[in-house]
Amino acid sequence: MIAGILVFLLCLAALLVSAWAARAADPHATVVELFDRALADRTVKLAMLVCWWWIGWHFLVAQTVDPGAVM
Amino acid sequence: MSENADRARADLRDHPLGAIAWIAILAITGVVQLLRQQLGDALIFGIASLLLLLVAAGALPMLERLRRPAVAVTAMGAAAVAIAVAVVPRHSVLAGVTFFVIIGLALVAAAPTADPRPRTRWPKALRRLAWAWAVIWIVACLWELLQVLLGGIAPGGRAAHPALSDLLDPLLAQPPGRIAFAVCWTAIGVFLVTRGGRR
Repeated sequence: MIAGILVFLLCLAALLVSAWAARAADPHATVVELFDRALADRTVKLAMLVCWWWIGWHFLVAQTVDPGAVM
Repeated sequence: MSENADRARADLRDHPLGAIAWIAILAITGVVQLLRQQLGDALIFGIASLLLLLVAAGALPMLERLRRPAVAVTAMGAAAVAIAVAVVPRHSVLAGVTFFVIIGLALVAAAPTADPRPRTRWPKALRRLAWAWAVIWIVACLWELLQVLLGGIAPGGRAAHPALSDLLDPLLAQPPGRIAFAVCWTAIGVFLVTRGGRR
């Protein structure tokens, strides 16, 4: 269980470190700029919206965890 | 055909990698959900990938009639969405209806601006950041998939190999966790619908 949490935290740390490194190399290379450019493509924007929406659906509408299956 | 449909086709012709990659991501996710026998999720991703193919080809003229609402309208809509997401009973019919309304609102709010952002070459540091983020997200998704698979077959089951759902579910069962999720999720949605074009 600890390993599972650790990998997700490492991924989060990697996202933050890579964002910091990019900005250190070029002040214009920010995460907001990255998304601004990616989201300028309508297909990409709608695809990201589908993923975002599904996360909400998955956690709040769908039955994500069978009762008693964990712990 | 409208200017937006022309732009969608030009996007696909001149910058195909992003659109093709994202359509592939949705299609692959749909296949994975199908293999997991999660038919509802497989349908969501399958239909979405097919619709996005049509969007990329400029073949959905009804979308071209959408106009992005004013900032104040988007802000009020976002506040209503956050409250609804925080209070609707989980796993209920009302929650399902709420989320279908939300995707409809999001599609309207994400309509292209009349003054789209001009295309310029990506700086080297930004390209590196894009690849780094893509790799990290893929690693996280593969880890999640591995946990889901191991949780079903390995000794210890989901307690030993928790997926993100298993880790977050206890937090979402409590009001503070639920409110935090509603605020963060809505904020990300507002970011996605409002960025990518000039206001």
